[in-house]
Amino acid sequence: MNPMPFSRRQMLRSVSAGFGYTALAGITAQAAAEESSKSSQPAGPLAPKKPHFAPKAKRVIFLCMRGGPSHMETFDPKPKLLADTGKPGRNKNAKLLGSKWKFNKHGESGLEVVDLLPETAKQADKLCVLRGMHTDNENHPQALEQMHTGSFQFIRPSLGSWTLYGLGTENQDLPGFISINPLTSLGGLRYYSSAFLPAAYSASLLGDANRPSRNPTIGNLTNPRLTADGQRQQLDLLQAMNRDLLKQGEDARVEGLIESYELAFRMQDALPKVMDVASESKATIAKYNAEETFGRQCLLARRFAEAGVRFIEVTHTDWDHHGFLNTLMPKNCTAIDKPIAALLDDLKERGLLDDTLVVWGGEFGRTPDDATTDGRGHNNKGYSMWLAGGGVKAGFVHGATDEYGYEAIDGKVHTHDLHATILHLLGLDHEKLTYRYGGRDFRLTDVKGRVVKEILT
Amino acid sequence: MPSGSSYVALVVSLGVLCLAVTDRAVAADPRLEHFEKKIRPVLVEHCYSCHSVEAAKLGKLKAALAVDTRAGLLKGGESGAALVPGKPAESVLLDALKFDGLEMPPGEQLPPAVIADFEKWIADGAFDPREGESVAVKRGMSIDEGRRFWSFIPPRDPPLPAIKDATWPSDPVDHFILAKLGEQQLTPATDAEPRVLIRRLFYDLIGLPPTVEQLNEWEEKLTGEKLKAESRKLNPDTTRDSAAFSSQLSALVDFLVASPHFGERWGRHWLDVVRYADSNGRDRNVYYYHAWRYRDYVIDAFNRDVPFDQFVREQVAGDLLPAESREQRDRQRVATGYLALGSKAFEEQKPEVFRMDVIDEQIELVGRSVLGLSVGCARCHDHKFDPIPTADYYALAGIFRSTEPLYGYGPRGIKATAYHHTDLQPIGPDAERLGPSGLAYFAKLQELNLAQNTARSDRYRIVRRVAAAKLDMQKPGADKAEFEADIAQMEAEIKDWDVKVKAHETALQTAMDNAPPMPGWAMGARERRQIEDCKIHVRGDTLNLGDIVPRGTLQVVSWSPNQPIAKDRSGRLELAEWLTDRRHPLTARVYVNRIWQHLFGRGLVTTPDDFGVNGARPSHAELLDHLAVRFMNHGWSTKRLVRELVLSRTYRQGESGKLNQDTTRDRAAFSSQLSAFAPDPDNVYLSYRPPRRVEVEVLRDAIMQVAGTLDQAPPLPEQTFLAKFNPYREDEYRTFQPLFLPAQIEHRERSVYLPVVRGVLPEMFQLFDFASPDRPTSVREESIVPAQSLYLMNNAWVISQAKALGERLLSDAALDDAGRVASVYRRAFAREATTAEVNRALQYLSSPESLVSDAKVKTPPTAEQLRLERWTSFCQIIFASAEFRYVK
Repeated sequence: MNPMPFSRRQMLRSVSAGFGYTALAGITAQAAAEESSKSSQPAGPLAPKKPHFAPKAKRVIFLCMRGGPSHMETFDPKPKLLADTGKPGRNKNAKLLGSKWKFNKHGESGLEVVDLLPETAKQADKLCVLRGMHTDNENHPQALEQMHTGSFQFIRPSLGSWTLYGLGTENQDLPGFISINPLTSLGGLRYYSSAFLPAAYSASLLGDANRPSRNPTIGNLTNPRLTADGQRQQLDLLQAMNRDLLKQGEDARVEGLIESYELAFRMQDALPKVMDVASESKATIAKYNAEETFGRQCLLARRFAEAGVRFIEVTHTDWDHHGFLNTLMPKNCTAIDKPIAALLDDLKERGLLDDTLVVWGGEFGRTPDDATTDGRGHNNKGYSMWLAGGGVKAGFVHGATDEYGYEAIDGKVHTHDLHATILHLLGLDHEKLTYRYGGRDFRLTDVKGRVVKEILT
Repeated sequence: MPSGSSYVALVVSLGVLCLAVTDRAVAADPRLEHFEKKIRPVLVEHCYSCHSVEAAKLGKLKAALAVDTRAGLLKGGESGAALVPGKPAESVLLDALKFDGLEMPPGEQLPPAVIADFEKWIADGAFDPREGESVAVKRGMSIDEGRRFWSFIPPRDPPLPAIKDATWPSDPVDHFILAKLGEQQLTPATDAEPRVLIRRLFYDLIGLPPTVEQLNEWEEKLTGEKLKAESRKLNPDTTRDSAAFSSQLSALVDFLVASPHFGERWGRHWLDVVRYADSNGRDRNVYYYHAWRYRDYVIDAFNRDVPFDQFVREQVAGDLLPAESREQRDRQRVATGYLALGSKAFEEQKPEVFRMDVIDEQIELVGRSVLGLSVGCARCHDHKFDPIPTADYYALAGIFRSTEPLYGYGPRGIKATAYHHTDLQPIGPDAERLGPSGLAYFAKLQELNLAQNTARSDRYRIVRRVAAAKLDMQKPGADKAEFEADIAQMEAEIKDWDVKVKAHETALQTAMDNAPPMPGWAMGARERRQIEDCKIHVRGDTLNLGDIVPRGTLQVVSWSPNQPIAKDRSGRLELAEWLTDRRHPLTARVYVNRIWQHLFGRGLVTTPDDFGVNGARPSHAELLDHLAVRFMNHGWSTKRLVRELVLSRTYRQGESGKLNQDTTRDRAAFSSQLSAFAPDPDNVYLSYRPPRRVEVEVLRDAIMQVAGTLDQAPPLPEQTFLAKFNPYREDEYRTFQPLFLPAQIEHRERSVYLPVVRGVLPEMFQLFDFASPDRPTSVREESIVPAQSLYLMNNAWVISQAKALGERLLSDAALDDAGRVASVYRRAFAREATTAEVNRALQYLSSPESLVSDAKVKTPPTAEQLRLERWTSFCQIIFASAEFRYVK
């Protein structure tokens, strides 16, 4: 992997007049592609880069269901569990507990989806359900960290950061990695950090899962006193001073700062435009249920995807149903059902689904048994996720858990395997996408990970 | 490997052989017969697959328990001994078979007759002929192995290593550094320029930039001496020190270490480690109104240079230490706030779970902050990596179980969680006299509040019923008259309730109006009335109790004689003594490593709160030991160690090492080649001094200092931000969120005095990687994201500070614009501006301003106003610049 065959520092130093209005003008996806084809042109760390091989997907929308949604009540029907409800379970004092809600076959594929997700069910022929997921840790913070970074013990770059490192991004006016409604407490920020990768590959966070908002945004997006011209002048002097430091031989962080100011400047103009949904039709707003928080966020995800953002994450919380399963499950399903269905449909209509990979799932699943009849414990041994879009089989089920749903027994896909597969779909070889840090080559999948070939088109 | 059929044959023949042998023996002893016929087959069939030597070999052993030998059963596993011969009631094995707490075998319970067999067997002495060693299955490190692990071997001062250039070192530290550099074919960078060194020392020691006067004064002293030394040409090697330069540098360091700002800077480092906060966080973000006393105690302790061992003893057991004065007693009481400040699950309605969670938080705190170990991992199982068995965790838990944390009230006026409330610690001259009445008053308020809330909800219930009845009345076929009568009656009841509620409100108000005189209050800890050992909680479950563990400390660090803790003492004092014993291998090492990290940007051990198996190994093991021993020999003095370290040549190095002279280095582009020409990209060996980003408090304080808006005096107690609120009414963050948010703007004191409300940090703190107060933090993140850039480019507070600086500059009539630019450079960067820089700035200042037109302002801005705007925007550039945000 040699993502940048030129020195960014040399470029930063050689630009004497500042970035000026070329940056302000903004580089659309198309222009950026042209830009990168003229390989003599220098570009920043976020410039589009060639993948290792032809990609199936160009971007990712990751719908993160924080808390661990129940697979037995979404995409993995368990008739035997239902039949044996009330019998002792494997866990202490726990009894088996079947789903209160029925499953039905949908679409031409006959893919089974719970009745709680009627709209998503209509998209069944687009889904590739992984029923054999498993991961290493059964605690939320660790499992979430592993889901995002591959590791729950060490601070490692996020999947989105690795993606940017490998591919750059298509729109230089927007962050390449955006996390909407991110988890910020309990070490959440680590899930989206670039760790030892250059700072430019960190996620930009919109809003905060602690206070979900219909209009998640980044603060301080407009200057209260300067016009764009005035601010550009100001920034030109600032950057000239910062570049002076580089000439004295400063370290890479100053480069990071310079890039960060430029991106911030361009974002002021570009971000509000992408986030302004006023141009969307009433029908679209209704279809996404975009008057509600999660619907708006899915709509924003589509807009970011269209605008050329490489990796978009949307979080829905909370699926940690130890209690009140019977009321919370319908509530959560209702909240995500229409928005996700609309997102899939909309991407398809706009021709984006073919090269967008949509990923749905939580950090783990839930136990088929519980001491109560209205809740479920954590289950990292077996659960479901689904993929849709770029390069995965549609209307397809891969893997299985045992007859109750305790453990994945067939077509097992570990978090590392999922990561390897996502990178593969993006045209990146997870074994070759390495970064030398502290004397060692690191990769997202550590020494593990297998591309799940069975689900590729 | 035998072929399939012969393998089966072999197994069968062995089985027959076994039966033959046992059959012969059975006749001899009825106890043996019982075992062989009733017990062994059951164990083999139902237990061995997870609990045997064989299972261990296959990696399938569960709960560290093997039941295929007598020794294994007696030794037991994670839940303690599996059985006590003769005592079925105390045998975990039997509980498990009965599905009482544990459930074994998993899935289906064995028939009652089989369980009765086991009960009889244990009652009869658990005769068991099976010999052999129990499998010593430890997933982590055994205690003996642990004692041989580097961090558990007490440090010894090693001899100074041999070095080539004996003229370079000025402190033994430099010998260790230079020796390692030599091994790596590296040489140290030349010393930093005096101005660079002055700025570095100010930031590192007191967290503020030098004022222009301070800069001039010290530069003159240092440069003067340096020039003199050079002019004498005593030694052509300019890197050699002159004695006079050293003494001036030493005077500068003395000045800074003696500054009251030293405690603010270094106290804040410790506050990171002890997860300091002014509120509870989590879902009930109750305010900790008295937490600030602990914060001020920490700042004061660093200023008074309380020896670190004493500092730890005070925080763990200050209430139990002798005190010669009332002030000392109070100080020590306040210190135990350390144990009370954690985030608590006030929504938790199981008292035992709540209590054990608080204890867990305390154990984790002591582990992380003092021991550099993740002891908390042993709550549910033996530590997976470190030599800390579950029993050790519960030995510590017993100490904290016998300790009462004093944090005051949880959410007020809620019956379900009322048991969460604790006392506070009275302090001050009248603490003894006023404490009891004050606490009684708090209890009374709680009672009145509860009564008031109950009455309010009772009233509201009827209000809801009235509303429902009014709807039902409209339905066809409803008996309107009956409904109306009902409603009339209910409305009468509501009126009654109105009176009652009013009475409750009045009673509460009256009580508040008649509050007794109060002592000062502090959070803290004290001994519980009931001192007790803790039982092992199997897998951390409060309902699944195993063996009792006597209160004590970690077995891996022990020395004889090991005195048991007296029956009437929690053991906190003993814990404090153990933590700070000179023989303790961790405490001094962990602490000197923290100091090193703060001064050099990177710990000798890069995982400052994990010195265990999973943690990093020291880059300079001998240096770490040298520092630990030296620190203890010098009376555990923080100031002395800091002083010595910053006077070392290692600290004084300039930033340009060999690495930085390479102009084409680019981490992303040439990462793989990096190691070829840059043997030390992370500066592990300290061959130069990389610039360091200032922390958010330092950035905020420096902005205000340069702008002239900083109030350097600490706030008086009655002026703390929280003092504005009624601690009884405004008990939770959510009730006065709007009042809190402007805090950052209103406050002009140093950032360390801003309230730290968990989950709602000031925007600037959140953006610039403040330490999360939710748990101990040893290393802050250092992110670079556009949101930070946007903050510095657009935030109103930043602009207001820039404006203040602009006004300050313009008001100095003695200066021309060039002089003003030069002045800004001195204030902000502690250096002279070059001519080119001045000209560039003047050009910027003279170009036309492009301001957003303000529709509300009819008259166009005057020339003066425009000039100020221009200066404001220039000063903002200074604050946003990399040079301001990094210290060389």
